[in-house]
Amino acid sequence: MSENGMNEKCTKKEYETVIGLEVHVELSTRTKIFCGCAATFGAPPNTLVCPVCLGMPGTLPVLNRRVVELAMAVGLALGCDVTRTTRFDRKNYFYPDNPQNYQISQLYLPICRNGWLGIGEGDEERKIRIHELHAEEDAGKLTHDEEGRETLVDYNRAGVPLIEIVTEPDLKNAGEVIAFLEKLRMVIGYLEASDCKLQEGSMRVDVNLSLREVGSERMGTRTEMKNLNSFRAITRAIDAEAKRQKELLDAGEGILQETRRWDDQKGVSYSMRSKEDAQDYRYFPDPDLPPVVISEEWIQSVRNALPEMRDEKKERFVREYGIPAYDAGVITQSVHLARWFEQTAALDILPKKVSNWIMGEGLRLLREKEMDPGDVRLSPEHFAALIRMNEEDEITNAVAKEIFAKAIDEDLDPESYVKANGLMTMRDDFLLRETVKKVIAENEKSVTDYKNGKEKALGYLVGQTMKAVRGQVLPAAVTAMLKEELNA
Amino acid sequence: MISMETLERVGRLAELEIPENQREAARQDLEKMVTFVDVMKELNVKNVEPLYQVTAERAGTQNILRDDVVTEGEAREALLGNAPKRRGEFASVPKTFA
Amino acid sequence: MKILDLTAVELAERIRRGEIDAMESLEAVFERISEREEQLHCYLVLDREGARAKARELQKRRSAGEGLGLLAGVPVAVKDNLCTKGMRTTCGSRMLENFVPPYDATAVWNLRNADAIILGKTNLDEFGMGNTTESSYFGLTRNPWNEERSAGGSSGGSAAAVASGECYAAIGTDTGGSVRQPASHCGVVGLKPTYGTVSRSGLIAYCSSMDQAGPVTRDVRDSAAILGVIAARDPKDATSLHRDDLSFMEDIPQDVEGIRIGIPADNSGNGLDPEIREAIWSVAMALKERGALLEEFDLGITKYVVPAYYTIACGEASSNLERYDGMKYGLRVSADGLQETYRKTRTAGFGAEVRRRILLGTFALSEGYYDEYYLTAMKVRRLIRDAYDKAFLKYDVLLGPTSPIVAPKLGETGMEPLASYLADVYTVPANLTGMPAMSLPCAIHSTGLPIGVQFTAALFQEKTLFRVGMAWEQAREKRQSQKRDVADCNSRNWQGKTE
Repeated sequence: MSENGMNEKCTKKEYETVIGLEVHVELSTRTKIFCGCAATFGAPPNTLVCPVCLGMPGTLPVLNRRVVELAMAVGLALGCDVTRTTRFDRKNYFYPDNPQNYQISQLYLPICRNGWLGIGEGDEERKIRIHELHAEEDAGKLTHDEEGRETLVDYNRAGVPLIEIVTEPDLKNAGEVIAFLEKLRMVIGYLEASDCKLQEGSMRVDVNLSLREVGSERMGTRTEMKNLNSFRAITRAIDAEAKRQKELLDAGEGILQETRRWDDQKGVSYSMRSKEDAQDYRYFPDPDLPPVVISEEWIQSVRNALPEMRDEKKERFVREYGIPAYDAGVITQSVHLARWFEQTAALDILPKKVSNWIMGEGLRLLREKEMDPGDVRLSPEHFAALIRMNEEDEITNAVAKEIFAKAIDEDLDPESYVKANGLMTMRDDFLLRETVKKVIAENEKSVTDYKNGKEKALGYLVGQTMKAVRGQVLPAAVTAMLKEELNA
Repeated sequence: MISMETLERVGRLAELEIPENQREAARQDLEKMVTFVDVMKELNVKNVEPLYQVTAERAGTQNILRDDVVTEGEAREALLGNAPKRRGEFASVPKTFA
Repeated sequence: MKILDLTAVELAERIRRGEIDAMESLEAVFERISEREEQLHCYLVLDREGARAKARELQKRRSAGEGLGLLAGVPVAVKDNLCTKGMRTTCGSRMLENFVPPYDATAVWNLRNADAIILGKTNLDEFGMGNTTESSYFGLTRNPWNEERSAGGSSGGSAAAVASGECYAAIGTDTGGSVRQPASHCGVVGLKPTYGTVSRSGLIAYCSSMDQAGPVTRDVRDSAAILGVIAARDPKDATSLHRDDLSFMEDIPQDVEGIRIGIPADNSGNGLDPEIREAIWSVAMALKERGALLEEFDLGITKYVVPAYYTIACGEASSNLERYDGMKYGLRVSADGLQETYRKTRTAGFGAEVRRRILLGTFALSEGYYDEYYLTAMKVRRLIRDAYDKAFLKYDVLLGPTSPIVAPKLGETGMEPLASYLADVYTVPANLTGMPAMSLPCAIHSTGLPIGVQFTAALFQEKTLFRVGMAWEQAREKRQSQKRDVADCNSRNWQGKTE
């Protein structure tokens, strides 16, 4: 071994990855955290602003009660203790997205502390500890002008309420991180506290990663990674950083404590320009905001107002609707999906039929159209009607699926739609026989194949017939008619 | 007692320029002020709670909270009217680095 | 009686009753301004046309039989760190030289609502930092009693305007004595209300946990009337209080029988001018003659009040002034890149005293020094408050000088900032603790300059201040011609017997 303990030829050290997360979530309140401006996404630039969130001279912040309640709700759902006297502090740093050049955040007395979130199931469940959860204000948006030497600022987002959830460094790899984030997103979705969309920025994740020698108590130097805009980016960034750090350690070099920016296009991270004293935020309690004293009664009332959470709902669905545990598990992954199911199943229809539709066509379409369950527009009444019509063979499966795909993002009344477009199941034997005869006549080879014993050829002929009747005949009837004609 | 390094760091944090020929004077100024306030160290404040808000406790002004109701957002002209430089609907600032 | 000699309350009454036309008193003020403003420089902005328009409107409403507000037609000046909608608000700084706020400070809005006429904005030390009004970027203000002397600060313009008759009343702001001390130097009444009484919304922040706007007036009754108008719980200010004891005029007793007055012993070599000490005792004696009980006592913490004040004030100020960066409003000095722009703008926009305090404040908050300085100062603040709480168990009001000196010569301060800081020793405790305090004129110094006496009361006890203040005003009227009795200054206990 060489003198400094590192070696080139002898056994390389074994390292394990140690990951902690800082997750910022934009709360879905109507207004910003410290002023009455609307907190909506996507408005024209600088239209949701006022003197307070612009940091104009003489203006003062006033705290939004709903922010406190949502922060408490999320904290309680994560098993945290609520801090009985909570306060806001100023984090001072100069940057143009920050109108006062300080961010009002919480350092000394965050609103919630010491919670956990489990990942994995049953025996495999691991508790990921949550160090703290605090509220703070978001900054404005900067648009960098590529050729010019200016940057454009839109202050609409300045002052939008955020909660920041900080975990202990309990996560071990990218898979666990994704599982954690998905579960977190589900919990927050259940509370309807945020829509947690990484792509839209309503959920942002910073990853703190270090390597620790296996068996050692000592933590390695960690780096912080930012600009992780999708689960894919998070996974790639974690894997790349763990690799980068391992290579440095193996080569006998140290890890620099720094913030790195992930570039998903190139698949690498870059060190962000950091000055030696850039980290001195000079936190001190904000003198404009008196402390928030949270009573036992208030905590109780927030706890009582917590909606039914996932595990409860899953069990209830099994009990009340008689659907299998597996179905209940899938449907309750999102509170919107669950609500859609429940509102439909409450109408005069078999719950298992509803869950089948949702789990099958429903999830497939959501994925294909890149929609969130919350964006589904098909009303429960229309959904139930569609299922019913399909069950009673008023419309075939093919037609039902077609209508479903259309209605999922813009609601329609299936009964009138079917009538208007003549989509009812055909029961005209004469017409069917004519169509089948035509298909047989036009597909000699397949007919021959079938007669020579190739069952597959029948399937082809059924397909062709279905196409000719635009799917409006029950496949069983088509098959029966084809066989009849073929064997004639 | 206040080193030049400390002065320069404080100046950087405050985003203030201290020209070379004024630095020693500024350092002395800061040192005098710090020495002046150092007298507070004579007091034993180990178990004393800081007093950040003078009337909040006594007047019951804790939990001053706002309802989550939208009020008028009319300040675009106010902002842009006062901005040293603007580009359309945006305020324009010197180029930042990501 | 000459129209300019009326108090604000008297004027408003007569205007409401139709005995005086609002335009008449307004023009009298404009005449006085044309006589003296050029020398004194109280105002940074004068809105003659706006004032006249308001006077006309008031007369019209009166003729139509409408009732007018409490301050009907009273020409009032506003310190230029309180935002006035559509009227330039500079804080005496190059940084905000052309800043026109699109909103009124709540205190200003309350004045307008009471039908006061806002004449314009008065000069101040830059961003409220100073006690001589010499650090204003737009030039200094002179003392109406002697134009070689400072009007005090930071509300020098407001105090000088009231003292010279360039307005009937004014609003200033008090963070470390900035209403009381200039009032003292200019021979008028200055009040700092209990912290939180007047909304800070629209008050351009210096030290958020201490700033309070307060009236500068000719007498105590005017002070009470104006406080009643500008004080109100404001949903835009989370530190503002709800108070239901703000109708000061009605039930204030006119006597001081049995009032316990505590006089902090002056034992820390504050450079107190002996004539001032004498004048203070003279006030004490006068009140004793009217039935008040006097006792001298030791506060025990006077040595620490100024250091604690400066640490906290500069700390909070360094953060409050970060927003002035050339990006959204105010001065921008073009430079190469973001950081250069910040630095050049802020260095050019802020004067020397402001930059000095920002550096101290940044230091006090910075890593490695926060516990030792800012946090310690906040703890010392509690000890100071405890000492005053203890005093108010025994006394109803404290009495002492407002300033250890009378108005200094212009050009003398500013060379050695620390020296001028020490002159704040009597005023800063009320800011640190939030307690209300008032300065009233009590005598004339041998130099011909006014001496002020300060009363301090417990939190929310403005009524006691008004009571004692009015009693002193009555006594002073009587004593106008009497010589001061030096022997009385030796009395030390409740019975007034010499030890």
